[in-house]
This record gives sequence, C-alpha cells and structure tokens, in this order.
Amino acid sequence: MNNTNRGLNRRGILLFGLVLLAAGAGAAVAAAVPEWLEGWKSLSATVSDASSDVIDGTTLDGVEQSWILIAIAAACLVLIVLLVVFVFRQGHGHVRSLVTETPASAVDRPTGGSVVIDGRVAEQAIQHALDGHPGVVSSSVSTYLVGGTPALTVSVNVRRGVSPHEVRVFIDDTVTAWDAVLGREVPVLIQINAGLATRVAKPARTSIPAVE
Amino acid sequence: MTTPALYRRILRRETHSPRSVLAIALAVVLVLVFAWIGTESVLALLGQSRLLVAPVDALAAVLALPESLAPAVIIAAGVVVALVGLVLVLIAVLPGRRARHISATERTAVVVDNAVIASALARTASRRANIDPNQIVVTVGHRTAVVSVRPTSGISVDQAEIDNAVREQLDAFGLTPKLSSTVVIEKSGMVAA
Repeated sequence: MNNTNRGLNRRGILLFGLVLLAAGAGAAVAAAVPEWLEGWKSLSATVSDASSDVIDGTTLDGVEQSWILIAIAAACLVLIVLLVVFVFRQGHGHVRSLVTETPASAVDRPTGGSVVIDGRVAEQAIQHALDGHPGVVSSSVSTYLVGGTPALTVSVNVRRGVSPHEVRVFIDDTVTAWDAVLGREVPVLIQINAGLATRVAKPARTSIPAVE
Repeated sequence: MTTPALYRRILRRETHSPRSVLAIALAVVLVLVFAWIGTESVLALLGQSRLLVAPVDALAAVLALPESLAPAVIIAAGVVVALVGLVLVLIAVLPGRRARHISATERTAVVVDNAVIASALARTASRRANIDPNQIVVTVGHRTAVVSVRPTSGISVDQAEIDNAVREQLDAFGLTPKLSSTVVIEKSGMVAA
C-alpha cells in the first residue's frame, strides 16, 4: 500500500521498449531491403563527413577538444541524477501519525489543543490481538498515507487450511474494538497471505470457529 | 478521499503489479550506460586514455555499421532487439494481475492470496470426503477453482457432496471476482497408507 508512482513506472518501461522496438525493427528492415541499405550507407557517409566538420567547428582553443563532449558529460550527469531520484522514489508512503488534530481542524470537537496519535499505538494493539488467533502464523500492522488519508494495513500469514473468511471476521471484530478505543474509524486494509511462514508452519488441526 | 473511493484505489493497487522491479532494473542499466558515456567524454576532454572506446571512435563505429556488418547479422540483431522491446511494451501495457482476490465491506477492505483460498478449499473437501488432504489438489485461477480429488482405492467419493461443500464455502468468502468451482474425481485411486 505504498505510494509508488506506478504510471511513471509503466511509462518509463513503455518508452524504453518503444525505443528498442523502433531501433531494432528499423535496423532489421533497413538491412533487409537492398535499396534502404544503400540509403543507410550513404546517410552514414554524409553524417560521417558532417560530424568531422562539426567537431572541428566546436573545438575549444584551450583544451583542443570539442565542447560537445562537455555537453554530453553534463547531459549524462543530469540523466543519472533523474534516474537515481526515480529509483529512490519507489515505495514509501509510511507515516508515523495515525490521527492528527489541531485546534483549527477540530473546531466542532474541542480538544483543548493538538492531539497526535502515533500509528504504533494502533499497530501494537491490533497485532497483539491478532497473535492470539490460532490460525495466524504471523502478522504485521503498519500505517500508510493513501490519498492524504492515514490508513492501517493489517497483513497476516495464515496456517494452511484456515478459512480466510474466519480470519477476516476475526480481524473485523478486532478492528471494530479498536474503533471503539480510538473513537473514530480509519480505513483498514487486510491482507491475508500464505507466505513463507505458512509453508513452514504446521497446518491447522482444528476448525477455528468464527467469533460472532 | 471518501472511504469507498479509498478502498477502490487500495484494492486496485493491491491486485496489480507496480512493475517496480523491472523499472528499477532498467533505470540501473541506464545509469551504468550514462555513467560510462559521461566518463568517456570527460576522459577524452582531458586527453586521458579511454576506458573502452573513445567517443569519436564510437561515433565512427556506429556510422560504419551498415558497411562493417553483413546484412544478415544486422537483421538478426535487429530482430532480437525489437523482440526485447516488444516484451517491454507488453509488460508496460498489460494489467499485470496478481494472484489475489478481493472483497470489501463498509468497514474494511480485504485482499486474499489465491494460495490461502486454495488451501481452505482443500481442507473443506478433505473433511467432507473424509480423505487425506494430500490426495486433493486445488488450483485457484482468476475466475475458477478446480478441486481435483484422488480417491483412496476401493472407497467411493461423493462428487456432489464435495461440490456442495466447496460451493458453500466460496459463497461465504464473497470474493471478487466470483470464483466458480469444479470438482474432478481422478480416475485412478491411491493405495491407502
């Protein structure tokens, strides 16, 4: 439930793919058609001649080298920085506070000042309740910001054979109890997984009755 | 954002791949390529010896491609590059659905791994048929759940009964997209342990 920019990921992959597709297909087709191959050769020769003129024309007096090299190096540096930012922009979205109330945001609910409830309060309370369920091998609760709203993610690994419905009802009850403690409802996502812990753990031996 | 809209957004993200691994891998490749080009440019600028190829030589080699390589080689290389590009385009465009099912109530949103659904169905079938769970294989797809039962030799299995039990359980799960079940009784039995 992070806030990775998925559209950007897909657009980046699409652009990369289209460039390879166009270059590969272009080269293959040009090489396959004799007239096009001749055209390609003459174009290469033209560019080759022109490029030496360009290199001569852009040579700097002090270093005897073309300033195009400086431009290439600078462009590479800028692109590298952008790509590194892109890579480290993946994931994220974790926040610490679950509820933040300032005197201004809670005019109708006077608190006498600011109130901040740390996400870990909810995380520990809910996780403690979940670990008592015999069908749950392991669980983790975390707080994320989704579209500007703090939300809780409850992720559980269940034992083999456990009904996801029973686990879900159990977690829903836990969440309802938590709502009563918190005094308000925050969005909750429940992930029921069969992770590595599930494969190693023993299968459930008894049916776990749903808590009504 | 209202809670239903929030849940729709969360559930869509939970059931589709973010394509992060591929995007990061491509970015790393590009970083390495740009770092190399940049380094070669600076070395050439300072008159130092090249790492692999000097920029001027690289340009000349690229321009000489149609002369230096046989057309067949260019065609083969071009096709390979184009196919890699095509795969990337498809990965970018296809939904990349994860093997998960969802369900949402007014209070919470749930994503369930298909493996969890499969093992729960296997246990239900195993109890109803009074058969070892190892003799049951459940495959859960996007819209179908196939329960295949290998009976113990000499003991008949009631297909309709298992079918009902599995169906009942799937109804209780209330998953989206809805799973339809098929129970298959294998022709060959298994010698009882």
